[in-house]
Amino acid sequence: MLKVVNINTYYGRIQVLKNISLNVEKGEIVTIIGANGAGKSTLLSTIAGTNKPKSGQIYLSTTQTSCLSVEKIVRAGISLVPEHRQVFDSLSVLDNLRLGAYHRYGNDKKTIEDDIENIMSLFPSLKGRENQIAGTLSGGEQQMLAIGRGLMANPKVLLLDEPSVGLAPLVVKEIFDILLTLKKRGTTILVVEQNAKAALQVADRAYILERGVISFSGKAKDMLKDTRVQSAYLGAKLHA
Amino acid sequence: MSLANDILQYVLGGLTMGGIYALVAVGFVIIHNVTGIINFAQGEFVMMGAMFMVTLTGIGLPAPAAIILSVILVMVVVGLIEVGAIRSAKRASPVSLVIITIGISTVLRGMALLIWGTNPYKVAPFTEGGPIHIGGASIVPQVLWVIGTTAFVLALTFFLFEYTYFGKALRACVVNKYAAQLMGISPGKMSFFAFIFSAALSALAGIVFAPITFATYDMGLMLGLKGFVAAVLGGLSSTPGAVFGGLALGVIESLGAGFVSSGYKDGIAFVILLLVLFLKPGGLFGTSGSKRV
Repeated sequence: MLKVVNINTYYGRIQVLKNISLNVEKGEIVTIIGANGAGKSTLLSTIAGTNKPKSGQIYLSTTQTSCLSVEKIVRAGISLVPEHRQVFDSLSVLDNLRLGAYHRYGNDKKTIEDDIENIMSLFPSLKGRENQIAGTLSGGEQQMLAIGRGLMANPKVLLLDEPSVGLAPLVVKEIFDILLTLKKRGTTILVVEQNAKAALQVADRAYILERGVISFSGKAKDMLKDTRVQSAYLGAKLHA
Repeated sequence: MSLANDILQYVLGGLTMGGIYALVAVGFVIIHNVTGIINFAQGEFVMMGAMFMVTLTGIGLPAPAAIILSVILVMVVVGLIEVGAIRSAKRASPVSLVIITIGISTVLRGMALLIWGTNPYKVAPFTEGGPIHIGGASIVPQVLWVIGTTAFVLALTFFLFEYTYFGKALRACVVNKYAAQLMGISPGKMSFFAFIFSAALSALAGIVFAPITFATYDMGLMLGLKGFVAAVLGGLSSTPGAVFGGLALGVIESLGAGFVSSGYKDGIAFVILLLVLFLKPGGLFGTSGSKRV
């Protein structure tokens, strides 16, 4: 479904991503874990098109998206839920969701209201708050709204950038449970996380990103048991 | 005339000027909010509106047709400017873009000088008739057009931004440009729209204002600066603030000119600008920079 081939991305003269290749199959949850500054967010923003790779290709099914503008990439079916949620905080919950469907608003206005209903059933804590200003929601609710807004684009692949950041453990669990529900509904998900344990528990496969290079990849279940991963990303977390 | 009558007269005159300033100020705010640019060519948009009106009524077009056509012409010119001069320099920093707008304003003023010369032009009022007496004050009927147009246009702007999907997308761009882009909202398209919409507001200001004063090629300079003062007074990012700023500036100027000296009229505006910048740099309606994370 999503295929990244030998991507190199720079910030000015600093190379952040070095020859990254990965793939995400339809219906999978794939996670990329790694420390701060490893290049996780850059990888997602390169896929979403807000950063342009210097070389390499990104394919969504058969479409090459790496040369497209952000708007066209959204239209093609890649939707990024950005780090720190970034909801439109002075707009209402409902407006946030509607704006998520911006690229298809002109064409299927009718289905959009149904889709909002769907999102609301997925996130019961947003129910009844349609007209509340998004900035007044709690962190967890804002994260749910951000995911809901991302889903409103009807993406083929949903990209999530650190959905757990700054949230209480219970809320983190709730968010990752929702990812499982989404998977059951057939959504393909690529999620970047520092919270390796939470991510590996729901993911099918995982990549480990270290200083711009994928150092390790495999099944999420195996990684949870792998001693190297445990000491670097799971155990280290406990002592941190 | 009693003092009360004087005050009433000055306030009415001030509100008229203030309405014009408000329209220009709202134009500043819209462009600034969507693009981060302070567009110093705003006053020139006002001038173009007035000058196209002069030419179009001069060739015998009826006023309503001339008004619509003038607004459209200004929107077209500004649309070309946005694509040609602003968008093509999109990698430039906001400061560079602001300097580009100063350049645009000089170019537009120069072209207006070549086309229309230095003569002041008179535009006929939209409706005939003598002055209207309100209390002890009297106003020309055109003043009602200015106030009516301002109110109508501002209501329309409010409706657009608060109640339409497109307006919400624009606001999303203002609130969080990055996230808006991720929703597939094109900042380039929004910038284009902000420019032409703001141009339409300013053009209308020039058109309704032209019959009250004389239209000249350089009228935009002072109107643009006053509009900027009004926008800063309102915090530069708030539309209601800009409206308030415009009306307040108009009234203060008018009272100052009436009771102190009309020679200080323009000076008053800039003293206010300095005071606001020194004492309350966020503007009277400005929000603090803090934001919930």
